[in-house]
Amino acid sequence: MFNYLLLLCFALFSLGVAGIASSKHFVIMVLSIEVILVASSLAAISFYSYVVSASILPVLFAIWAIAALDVIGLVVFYRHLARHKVSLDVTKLTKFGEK
Amino acid sequence: MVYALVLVPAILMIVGTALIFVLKDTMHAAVSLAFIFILNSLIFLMLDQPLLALIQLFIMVGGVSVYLFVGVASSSYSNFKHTNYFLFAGIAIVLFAITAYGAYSSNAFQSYQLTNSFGISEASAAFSMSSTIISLYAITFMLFILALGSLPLLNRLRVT
Repeated sequence: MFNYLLLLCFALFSLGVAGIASSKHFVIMVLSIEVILVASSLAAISFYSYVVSASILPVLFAIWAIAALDVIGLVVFYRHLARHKVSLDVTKLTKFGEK
Repeated sequence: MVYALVLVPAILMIVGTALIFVLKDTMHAAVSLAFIFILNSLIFLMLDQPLLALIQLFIMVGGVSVYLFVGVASSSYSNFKHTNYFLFAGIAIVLFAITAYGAYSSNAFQSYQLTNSFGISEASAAFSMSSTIISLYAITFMLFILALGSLPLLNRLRVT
């Protein structure tokens, strides 16, 4: 069971990293990071359920805090780009900096 | 029986993750991400962690996903074809093969299957975790303070 859960975590992590590498949409890249955080939380809870008998709450709180911070940063940056009517294509963000 | 029960949300999670990169609209991608969060909490429930499943559901679905819907995905701003599908599939398959092969070929899995301890004893792992619990709490607290403090700071900088 633990091995299958770990395989699922590997698959989710691979999909998240591949999404960051192959996508050029800013929002989609942040959603990929959320997928990686889901994989990490799943790995943590499966590890703690089957291997270690300790409190998992600090690890999960850290992961949830990073996920929340990630989305807050996304919303702030999104509103900044939308106000200046800049495309969310990350390949065009360098032009935005040159303005 | 439990294997079959976990297999269904596992497959749905992988499909939902792939849908994030296939769907063009960010709203649909955010809904797919919320679906993944729900399935993740379902797996938590199957691992006999109902409280963590509930907290996961409240924080990730009730908080993060709703904030994502309201803040970003509700306005269809800047929609374009964002993902190279062949590159995405290639990188995902290669990375999965590397990570899975690296984990299964190592001695850690073999020792886990033999001693049910994943290469390390439960006592040593519990001790190492107890020694890092304070730092993890500190990191979490710092991140929350950073998230809260960034909002007035960015407001002062006239970013938002």
